[in-house]
Formats: sequence, structure tokens, C-alpha cells
Amino acid sequence: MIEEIMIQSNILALLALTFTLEYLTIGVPNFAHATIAFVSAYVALAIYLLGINVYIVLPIAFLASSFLNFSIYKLLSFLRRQKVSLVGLMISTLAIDMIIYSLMNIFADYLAYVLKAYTRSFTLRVADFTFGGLPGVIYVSSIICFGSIIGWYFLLTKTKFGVSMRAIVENYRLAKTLGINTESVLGSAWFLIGGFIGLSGAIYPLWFSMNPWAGADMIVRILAASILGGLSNVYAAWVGGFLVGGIESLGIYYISSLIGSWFTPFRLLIPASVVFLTLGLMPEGIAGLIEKLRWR
Amino acid sequence: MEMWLLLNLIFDILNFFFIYLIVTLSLNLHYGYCGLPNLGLYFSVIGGGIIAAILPGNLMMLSFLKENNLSFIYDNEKVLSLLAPYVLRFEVAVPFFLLSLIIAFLFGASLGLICALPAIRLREDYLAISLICMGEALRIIFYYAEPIARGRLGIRIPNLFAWLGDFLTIGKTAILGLIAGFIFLIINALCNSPYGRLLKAIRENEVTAECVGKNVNKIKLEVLIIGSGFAAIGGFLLASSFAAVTPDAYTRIDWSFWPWLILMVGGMGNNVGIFIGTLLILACRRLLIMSKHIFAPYLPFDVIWLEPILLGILLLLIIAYRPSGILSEKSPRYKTLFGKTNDSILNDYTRGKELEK
Repeated sequence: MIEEIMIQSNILALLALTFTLEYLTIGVPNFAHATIAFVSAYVALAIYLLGINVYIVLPIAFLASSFLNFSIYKLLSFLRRQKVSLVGLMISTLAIDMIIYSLMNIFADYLAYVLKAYTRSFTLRVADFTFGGLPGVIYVSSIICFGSIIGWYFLLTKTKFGVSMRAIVENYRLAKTLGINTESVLGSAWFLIGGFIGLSGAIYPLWFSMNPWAGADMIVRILAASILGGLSNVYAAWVGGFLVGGIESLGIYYISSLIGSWFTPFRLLIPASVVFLTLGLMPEGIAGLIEKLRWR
Repeated sequence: MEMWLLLNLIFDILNFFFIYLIVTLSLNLHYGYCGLPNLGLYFSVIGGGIIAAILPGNLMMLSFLKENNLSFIYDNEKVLSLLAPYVLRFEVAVPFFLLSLIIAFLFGASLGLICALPAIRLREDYLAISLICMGEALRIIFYYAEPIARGRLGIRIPNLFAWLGDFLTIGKTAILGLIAGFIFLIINALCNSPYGRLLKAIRENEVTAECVGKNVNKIKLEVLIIGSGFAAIGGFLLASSFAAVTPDAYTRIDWSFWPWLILMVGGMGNNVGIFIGTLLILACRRLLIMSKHIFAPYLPFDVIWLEPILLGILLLLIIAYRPSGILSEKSPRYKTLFGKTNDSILNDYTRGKELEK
């Protein structure tokens, strides 16, 4: 129970943080986010099937996902230059999601055919180590999750690159006028963000059951976490990820113990309710709440 | 025999065409006319499927098999065999069909209301996120809730077209065509009325519409409700035409991506474009499905993945190079004070837009 809450919260916090970063940089919610993450899960499976330690896959997943995310940024950037509207860009991310999903299925089929392995509903728990009676993925996911927020904090506040990135987020045209190479900064940012997305996807099957269609469920959780965070503050999104992960895991535990285990497949209704309630009660999310408190 | 197969295939394509036409017209009303990015369109389509699964069967059972104490879900086959003589009667099947159709519309409309309430005041990206989340939530309920359609197994429902007898295939298509045509006329009339022009005004500039005293949120809510109701009719007709409800048939790809692709291909804000787009895309899709076996030996992967990959690429290409679709939206034409049309004014407007670019 504790393990599940921790791992789910860590992964979700990381994905919400990266989703919000992407949203802030180009102003478009990337609906392919979860599917991009889970490409790394299949890279991890392939590495494991080749008999290599799954943790060695982390840098490979980081790089693979970085390049994928960078390519998506380039595509979205091209579409923006073509004067495609915000809605057009959102639909483009859905189209990208579908293409990646299909390619992931092809890769899963290929692995199943060549390496004679189960590539649907698999976990890599057997490949994980244990330390102090707890699975290794708890430590690794916590290090990545907390390390990423600290890393992003330093990057955004203490480096020239981070300051340029914030300037672009605040005012794209002004930043360009001031001589910031916006295309290069945003491209590098998406490359880096892609790396963290890949890390979260690579550790996911170390605890949870993995399917090519897992992205469809995960995107709802990411959206819930980001909406709860407020979509305007990366730190709030990170907190939102933690909260949604915790609320879902605890919620499903208590609801199932109250009304029975038949409710377990409906667990996605919990993050969907978070979206509904947040938009209804405080659409600015945690970020808006922090702003209000600050002004008091 | 082959002729019979070909006819069946044509009627099958036509049935899908009419259902997709209804759903895409509702999306056109949402986005093409009012600018509401309904990325969770399948939410309402699922609503129609739910009504088809629950309503006609249970209602007929309550009317004709009260004393049997059967469950429509768990004694599905038995109930259907007992109801078989009733659905063959025109005076029984048609009222049940019409009643269910109206309730599907009302249910879809209320789903649209529920979905829109928290997000209608917000920006379009928030609205899109909210609609996607609601769509996924309803999909989960539809997939796993046994009392609706026995989970993913699905159920059979009374065939409300059975009274057509020997003319079942052609008659069913004709009825679907009549309903689609009726909805087309309603939406077209709505869009060409002053209300339609108001919708376009909201789409172009919400602030200006508000400044001239229009309640933008109320109008957007109305559009979402009406459109969702029509989309639910599409979902209901899908189940009714097969006399079965299978939750797997109500996916995001089928009932959100495909209508968006049709909308993009046909042209937003143009109902005739939607008609042509639906015809074109469904014919291409059917051709692709039929010719899969031709591609299969040359592809290094399972041919079923070809369709979503091509769909995704086509959608990206259209968004990038032809965002206005096959038939662009018609510019409004009206007479000026001196009896001339507004062409010169429109030309000035277009030139201004180009200069702005």
C-alpha cells in the first residue's frame, strides 16, 4: 500500500511537472505526454529481455525520450509557423499520440515475436532489487522525483539558460527582441523535459502492470495533477502530482474496503473527479491558491 | 450471391456514413460554428450507447414480460427470444424506437451540461482537458459497469428494425438516412439563422460578442448541450443498427479522432463540407480495410496498425497545409444600403487580414 502510494506519487509528480513545463513553454497541452513516457517502458523491457540490468536502461531511456520529445517540439514548432491555431495544435498532439501508440504496439509485437516474451500486461518487478525490505524502485523513483524538482529549480533560477527559458515563458516576443535564441532554448528545454518523461516511463513497469494502452489512463491522471497544480507553476504541478497519486491510491483502498473490490477498475474516476472539482471550485489550482495567500 | 454481398457492403457503408455524419455535424456545431474544442466528443456518443443498452430492452420487458422476473442483462438471450414476437410489430417497435431516440438526445444533452458546467467559463485548452477527462471517465464506467452492458462483454438489444421484415437492410439504411437528413436540416437551419451568426461572432471574438450584450457563456452552454444531444443520437443509432451494444465499439479513436479528421478534411463551419468529408473519409477507410490483405505481405508489421498511423499522418498534413479543408467556410454575403453585395467590403477585410499576417 505505502509502496504503491509512493511510487505512483513519484511518477505522477514527475509527469505532471514535465507536462506543465511543456505547457508553459509553448502554451499547448501535449496529449501525447503519457504515451511518450511509456515508449521508455518498452525500451526497458527490451533491455531486460536481453539480460541486462533494467537500471542501466535509465540513461538510454533518457536519451531516447529526449530525441522523441525534441522531434515532437520541432513538429509543433513547424505547425506554429504555419499559423495553426491552439486547437489545431492540441489535435496535432492527439494525432502524434495515436502514431506513437501504433508504433509502440508494432514494437511490442516485434519483441513478442523475436524474443518470445509477453509484451502486454507485463511488469518488471522480478528485475528489481530490494533494500531494507523495500523494492528498489521506491528509492530510485524518489531520487529521480526529488532530484528533478531540485534540478529544475536550480536550472530555472540560477542558470542563464533557465532565465532565458523563463523570459520566453513570460513574453515570447520580448525575449526574442532581447536577442534570446528562442528556438534553440525551447528546443533544448523540450529535449531535457523529454529525458525526465523517459525516466518516469522506464521505472513505471518496475511496479505497475504495463500495456501499450496504459497511456490513455495515465494522461487523465497527468491532466488531473496539472489542473490541480494550476498549469501555471511547475512546483505546484509537482505537488499536484503527489496529491493526485496519493488521493487515487488511498481513495481506491478506502472505497474498495467500504463497498467492495468491484470498484477497483473504476479507479480512474478519482483523478477525473479531481479535474471536475478543481475546475468547478478553484480553476487556478494550487498555484492560484499560493498567489492569493501571497497577496494577503 | 456476390451481388447480394456487394449490396450488403454498400448498405453497411451507408449506415456508418449516416451515423458519422450526425456525430461530425454535432462536432461542427461545437467547433466549426462556436469554437468549442470538443476533444471528448465520444463522451456524448457513449451516452447514446448507454441509453441503447439500458432503455429499449428494459422498457419492453417492463411492458410485456412483467411477471417473468427476468434480468435484461443476465438473462439477455431469453429476454430477447421472448420479446421477438413484439419487435416484429410496427406499432410496438416504432414508438419504442422513437421514445429511446428522444431520451438518448435528452441524456446526451444533460451529459453535455454536466461536462460543460465547470469549464465553460474557462479558456479553450481547459475546456478541452475537461472534456477529455470526462470522456475517459464515462468510457471507464461503460467498460466496467456490469449493470449497463455486462462490462466489456456487451449485450444484445431488441432489434427495433425487425418489423421491416424482408426489407430490413434497405429499410434500416433508409431510416438512418432520414434521421441523418433531418438532423442535417436542423443544424443547417440553426447555423444559417441569426443564432448561427451569433455563434460565429462568438467564435471569432468572444469579447466583442460580450460587449454587444450577448451572454457568451450561456450560448456556449446551449451549443454544447444541443450538439451533445445529437452526438448521443449517433451513439444510440450505432447500437440500434447492430442490435447490440459493445463498449469496445465506443473508443476515443472511433468517436473523437475520426470525427475530427472528417471535420478537418471537409472544412470547418460548412455543413456541406462535412457531408463530403464524411463520404470521402469513410470510403477511404473502408477501402483501406478491404485492401489490408494486399498490403499485408509487404509490411514488416501487423497491418491493423496501418490505419491509425495513416490517419494520424493525414490529420497532421491537413492541419499543416489545408486547415480550411476541402470546402472552406462561405463568407457571409449581404446587401449594403445601396443594394450592392458586400464583396468590396469583404475584399478589404481579406486584404486587411493579409496585411496583418
